[in-house]
Amino acid sequence: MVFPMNRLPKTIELVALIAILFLLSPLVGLLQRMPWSGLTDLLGSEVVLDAFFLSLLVSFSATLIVLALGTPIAWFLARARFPFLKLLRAVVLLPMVLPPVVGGTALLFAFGRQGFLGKWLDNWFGVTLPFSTTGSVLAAVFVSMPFFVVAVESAFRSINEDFEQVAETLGASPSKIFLRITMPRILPSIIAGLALSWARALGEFGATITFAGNLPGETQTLPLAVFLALETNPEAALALSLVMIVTSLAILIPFRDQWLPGK
Amino acid sequence: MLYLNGSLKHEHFSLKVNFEVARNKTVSILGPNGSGKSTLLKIINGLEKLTSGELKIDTKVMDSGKTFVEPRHRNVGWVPQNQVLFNHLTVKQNVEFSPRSSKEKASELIDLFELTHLQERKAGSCSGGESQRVAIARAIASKPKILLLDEPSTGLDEKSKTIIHRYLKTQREITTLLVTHDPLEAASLSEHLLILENGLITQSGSPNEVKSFPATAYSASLVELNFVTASADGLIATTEKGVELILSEPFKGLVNIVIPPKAIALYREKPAGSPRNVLQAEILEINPIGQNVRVNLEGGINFMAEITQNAFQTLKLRAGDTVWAAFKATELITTME
Repeated sequence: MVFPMNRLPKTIELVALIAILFLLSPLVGLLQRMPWSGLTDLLGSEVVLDAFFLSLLVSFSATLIVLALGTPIAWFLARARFPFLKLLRAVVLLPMVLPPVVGGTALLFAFGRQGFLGKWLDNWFGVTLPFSTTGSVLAAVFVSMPFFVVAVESAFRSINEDFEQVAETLGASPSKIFLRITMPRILPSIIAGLALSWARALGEFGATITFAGNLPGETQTLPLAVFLALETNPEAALALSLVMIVTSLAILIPFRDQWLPGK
Repeated sequence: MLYLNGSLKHEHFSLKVNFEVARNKTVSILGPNGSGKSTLLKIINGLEKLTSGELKIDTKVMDSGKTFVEPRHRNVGWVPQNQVLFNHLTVKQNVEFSPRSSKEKASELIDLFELTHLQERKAGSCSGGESQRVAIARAIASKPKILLLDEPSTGLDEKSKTIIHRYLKTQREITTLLVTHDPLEAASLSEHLLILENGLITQSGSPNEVKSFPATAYSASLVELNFVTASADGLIATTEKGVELILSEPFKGLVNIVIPPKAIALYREKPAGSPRNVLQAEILEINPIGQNVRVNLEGGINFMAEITQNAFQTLKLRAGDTVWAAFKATELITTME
C-alpha cells in the first residue's frame, strides 16, 4: 500500500485533508480563470519575459550572497559564546517577522541616497542602490537570509564537536577541518537552507517595491509585475502567476526528503 | 617522555595530578566512572587547559601559565571513547587524514590492523570493532609522540580486541596512556598503573604492587580483595562502624586492611576459641565463580568471602541467611594509611 492510511488516526487524516484543500483552493482559483487560449502570446510578451529572467537573476544572485554571508553568521551564532548572543540572533532573524515594507523602508534609510551608508556610497563611489537591479538583490538578500541562517545554525549546533576535536588533534588546520569535516556533515542543511531562502527571494515583494521600485527590466520582478498587471491587465497577471508557480514547483519538487532538517 | 604536574578546576569537578611516563612506555589509568580519566587525556591533547601547573612532552612545555600549545601542534594521537570516525570519508581517507600522515605509513597501518579489505569502503559502514581499529590506525598514522587511548577495547568483538592488544603489546615507539576499566588488560599491556579517583592519583605502581598492596578500596576491588579502613591501637583496629579486627602486629593510627576473600571461612554456628577474627554477617548475594562461590556479606563491614563449592553445599547457604565469618589475623595485610 502506498499510503499508510490505516496507521493514521481518522481525525488527523480529516484535518490534514481540509488543510490540503485549503492550500490548493487559491491555486484552483488561478487555474480556473487562466486565459489558456491566449497564453502563448502572453507568455511571450516582453513584460512577462523580462520579469521572468529578472526574477531568476535577482533570486539566484541573492541566494549566492546568502550562502556566502549566511554560513559564517550561522557558524558564529552556533559556536560563539558571548552575553548578547540571543539579542544578536533576534536581530539576524528579524527580517523573517518584519513586514517587508518596513524592511524596505529601513533599507532606504540605510542605503538610500540620503541614507547614512547610501550617502557615503554615492559620494565616494558614485554607486546608487535604490531603484536598481542591485537594489532588488539587496532587498532579496535582506529578507531571505534568516531562512538560510536558521536552517544552517541548527545544523552547526547538532554536529558533535568530537569530530572537529579529533581532526584538530590529528593536526588539521581550521580551514581543512571546516571544509573536509564540518561542511560535508551539514551539506543537507545548507541545501535545505538555500532552497528556502531562494523561494523567499523569488516571492519577495514588499521590501523590493519600497526600496527598489517597480521599473520594468530593472527592478520589476515577477511578483511586482503581477501587482502592476492586476490593475491594468488581469490576464497578464494570471499568466505571470502561472510562471511563478511552475518555476517554484520546478525547484521544490526535486527537493529531497533527506535535505529537510532533522533527517 | 610525558611530564604532568598540575591541576584543573571546573565548576563541579577538579583534578590534581603529578606523574611522568618514560619515553615509549605504556602506562594504564584505572579509575571509577567520573574520576577524571577522560579529562586527564584532554589535558594532554590540549582540549582542556590546566588551571595551574605544567605539562611537558619530551622537553617541550605544552601548557603552563605562560605557554599553551594548540592541540593541532602537540602531536598527540587521541582515540576517544565514543568512536569518532569521519563517516563520509573512506577507511583509507580516514587513516590518511592527518597532514603528518603519509601514504606509506597509512597503508602499513591499514595492513597491520587488518583493514585492507575495507579500505575503499565508507567508514560509516564499518562495525564497532572495525571502526575502533580505523580510529587507532588514524591516530598512529599522525606519527604522534604520545598516544592516548580511552577504553580502546570496551565492547569490541574478540578479533578486533586481539588485533588491538597485539599492536599495543609489541609497539615500542610511542609513549602510550591507556584508560581502561579492565585490570587484566592494564596488567597485560603496561608495566605501570595509575589509579585515579575523584581527580586524584590514589595509587601509582606496577600491576604486582597494586595487586599485593592495594592502597584504596577501589584498588582492592580491582583485584577482588576486601578493603577496610580502621583506626588501630596496638593489635586491635576499629572501623568507623565499630567493628573490631585483630591484627597480627601492633599499629597506631589509621590503617588500611586488606582481607583476601579466600582467607575467610564461613560457619553456621559461632566457631569456638582460636585467636582469629570472627564476625557475624548477613549474606547479601551469592555468585558461583568456577570451582568456587563468592559470597557477599554485610556485618558492619561489607566484604566478600570466596569458598569452595563443597563448603557451599555443606553449609546450604542462601541469601538472607546469617552466618559467622572467620579469618586469621596473619592473613590480613595491614598498612598505615
